[in-house]
Amino acid sequence: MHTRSLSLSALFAVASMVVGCADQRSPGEPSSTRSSLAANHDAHSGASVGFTDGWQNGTTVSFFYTKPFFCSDGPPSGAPSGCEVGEDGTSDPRPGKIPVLYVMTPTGFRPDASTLQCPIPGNCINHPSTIDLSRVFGPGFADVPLPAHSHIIDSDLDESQSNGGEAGWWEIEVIGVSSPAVWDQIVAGKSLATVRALQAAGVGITDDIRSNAYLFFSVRPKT
Amino acid sequence: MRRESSREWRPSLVAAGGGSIVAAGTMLPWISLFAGLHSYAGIAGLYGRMMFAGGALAVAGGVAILVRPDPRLRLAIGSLGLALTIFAAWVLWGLRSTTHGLARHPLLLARPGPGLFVVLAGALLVAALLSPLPWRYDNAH
Repeated sequence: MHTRSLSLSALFAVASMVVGCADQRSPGEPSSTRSSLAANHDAHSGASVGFTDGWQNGTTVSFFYTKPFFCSDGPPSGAPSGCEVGEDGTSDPRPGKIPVLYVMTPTGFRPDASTLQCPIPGNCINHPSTIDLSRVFGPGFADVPLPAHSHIIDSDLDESQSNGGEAGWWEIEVIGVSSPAVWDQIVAGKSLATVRALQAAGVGITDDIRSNAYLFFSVRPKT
Repeated sequence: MRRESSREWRPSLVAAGGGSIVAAGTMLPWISLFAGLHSYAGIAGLYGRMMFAGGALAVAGGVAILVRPDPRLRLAIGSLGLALTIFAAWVLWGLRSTTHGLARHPLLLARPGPGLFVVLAGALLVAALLSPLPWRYDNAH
């Protein structure tokens, strides 16, 4: 009975990985070891488990995701997930300060794919492979590519050292970049300090746009 | 005399104004990602183009009412407004479903844009031509 149960579990795990991979990457997309490898689902919680790249203090690191995202109870949202953007949440997934994951989003131009940690739709954990907007725009909009982006964290902050600097919650904030030159500087700097300097200059980059969404991941050296 | 003249303009202004608002709404974002950084205007898709055409038709109808103040024309344009209202409401329902679906992915930060709501407001204005207001030529005929 125990052996049978183990076999079923193993079969389920393998099937989950196959399904997860099939769902996350379309046949036409090239494989990428650099970007994320959202691969399977946790058998206990149903959470997606996988990696994305990120920038931290001038280096590229790996984020390892092991839990579903969290959206706070407020501000009011009509979405079933409770996620809302443009306003900070009224409750956090845990007490104390929570570090921030900055989602760096090019707008109005397409940077080189090598500078994007989510360059290919569906290659990032917690992202849909493509977006179906056909119910809004009609035929021809069932397969809209997901806008590409990259990630920056700053673990020198005190709050980033909670949980031993390992797995923990990260609050999502979005920063838009409208200038290719600014994007290139961010890629070269790979740090929040670079972003802050560019924001201070105030050209080609937005301020931080807050949300009430949180992701759970650990930061690991890039192998 | 002046009062009657202003009444003559009323349905024409309502049709042209409402149609212009509908057309303008199709140019505005209907949905955005990444907290508004990536937006999609309605005119990019078939539904948006259809609504733009409906808005343009309402504007043309407004001009036609000025030239030929026929109550049947007003009713026809009002019916167009009603159809646009129903269409916009249906697409709004689709927008709601879509944003709910995308909200499950927190990094997308999807939210509805103002465009479709503007379209609905314009369509309602055009549909108001069906209302039993004292339109000038109703009394004249």
